Amino acid sequence: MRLKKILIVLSIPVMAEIAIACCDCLETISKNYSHKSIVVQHLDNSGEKPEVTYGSVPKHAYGVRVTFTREVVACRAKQTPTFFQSAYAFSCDCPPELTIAPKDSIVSIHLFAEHDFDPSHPADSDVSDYFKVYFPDAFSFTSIEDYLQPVINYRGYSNLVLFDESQLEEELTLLLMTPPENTVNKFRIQITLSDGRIFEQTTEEIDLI
Amino acid sequence: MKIKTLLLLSLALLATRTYGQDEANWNYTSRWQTRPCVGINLPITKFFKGSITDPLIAYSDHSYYLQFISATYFFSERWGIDFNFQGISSSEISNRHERYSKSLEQEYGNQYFVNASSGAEYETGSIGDIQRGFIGLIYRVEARRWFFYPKIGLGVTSLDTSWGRATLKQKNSNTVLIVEHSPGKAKTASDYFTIAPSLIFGYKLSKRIFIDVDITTSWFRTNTTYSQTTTNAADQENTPGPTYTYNRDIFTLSLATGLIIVIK
Repeated sequence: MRLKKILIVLSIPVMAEIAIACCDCLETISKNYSHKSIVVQHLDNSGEKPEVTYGSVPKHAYGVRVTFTREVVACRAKQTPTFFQSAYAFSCDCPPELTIAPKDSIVSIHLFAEHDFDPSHPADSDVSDYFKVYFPDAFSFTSIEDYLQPVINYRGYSNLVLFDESQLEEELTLLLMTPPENTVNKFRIQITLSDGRIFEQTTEEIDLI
Repeated sequence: MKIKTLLLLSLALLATRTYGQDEANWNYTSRWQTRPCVGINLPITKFFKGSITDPLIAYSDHSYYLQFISATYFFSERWGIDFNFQGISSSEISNRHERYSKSLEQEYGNQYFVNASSGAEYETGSIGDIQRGFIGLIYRVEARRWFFYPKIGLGVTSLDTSWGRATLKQKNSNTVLIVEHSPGKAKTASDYFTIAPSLIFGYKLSKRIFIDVDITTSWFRTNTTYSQTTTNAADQENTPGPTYTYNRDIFTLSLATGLIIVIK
C-alpha cells in the first residue's frame, strides 16, 4: 500500500508534464566559440554602402573593416532535468536548436594613428574617439564603448550568443567621423579579449584625399 | 458585368410593365428607400500645393466612391431623413508611399542616397482610403415618372495622416541624416466636419426601382500640420525643419449615379 502511494506521488510530475506538453521541441545543442584572428581592411563609404578599397579614399568617407574569425571550441554537456523536458508547452516557444556562447569576448577596441593625424594627434596617438561603429543595413551608429556592452534580448540571450555557425565570421565597420589633416595615413587596430589576449593589426598606408 | 447590368435593366423594365397600370399611385407612397451608387469626386478647391509631405495624407483631389450603405426614411409626404456612408478610393492614394519616396528623391537625391519608409506602406483601407458618412434632411418632389430630391447632409470625412521617415546617406561622406515627418498626433485618422448639399433626380423605372443622378457639393476644413525633424545619425543631434500646414477649405463636386430601391 505504501509503495503504491510512493509510485502515485512520483508519477505526478510525469502526468503534469504529459498534461502541459504539446510541443515537440528539439534538444538544444550548446557550443562555445572563441576569437581566433582579425583582418583589417580600408573602407570607402562614398557610395550607399561601405566597400573595401585600396589606394585612396575621400577623407570624409573613410572607414576600417575589422573581420573577426571565430571558431567553435567546445560542445557543452546537455543539462537534462530529472522529470521535465527542456521545452515546456504553454506557449510552444521552443528554445533555439543551437546556441554558441562566447568563451571569450572583446573588452576593448583601440585605433592608433601610425602617422601624424592632426596637430594634436602626432604619430602613435589613440584616435579611437574619432571612429564610430556603423551598421550599414540600419544606417545607424554607436560608439565603440556602447558596442562592447552586451545586450540581453527579450528571450534572455546575450547578443554575443550565436544561433548559427554562419554567424561565426563577423564584420565590424568603423567609420572615421573626423577627417585627418594629413593625406597619408595608416592605422593600427588593437583588440583586447576578456582572456587577456590582444589582437593587433596595422592597415596598409592609404591616401585620404 | 455588362450582362449583369442588362439583366438588371430588363428586370426593371419588366417591373415597369407590371406596375405600369397604376403609375399614379407611385408618387409620395414610399417610406423606406435605399440608394446605392457610384460616383466621382472633382475638386473645386485643391487640397495639395506640392509639399513634400503631401503623399503622407491619404487624400486625392480626384477620386471615385462607392456609396454602399444608404437609408432614407420619409416621415411625411415630402420630408425625410437620409443616412449614407461612402468609401472613397484613388490610385493616387494607394501609391502614396511610392510618391513620398519620389518626392524625397527629388528633394535630396543629388546629395544623398535616399531610403524612405512611411506609414503609408502598411495602411490599406478596407472600405476605401477615405470614408465619408452623412446624416441629413431630404425633401421630395415627385412627378409621374420623374423625381427631384434636394438634400442637405451633415457628416464626417475621415482620412489618414501617416508618418514618414527617410535615411539620407550623404554621397562621398560618412554623414547619415534621418529626416522625419510627423503629423504630431498619436491618432493617425483625422475626422473633419463636412457639409454636403445635394440634388438627386432621376426616373422611376418601376414603383420600386428608380434610376438616379446625384450631384453633391461638399465642404470641409482641414487642420493638419506636419513638422520635419532632421537628426544626425552619428551624434543624434536634432535640427527642427520647416512645418507644412494644411489649413484649407476643401470644396468638392461629386457626381454619382445609382439606383433607388423602395423597400417599403
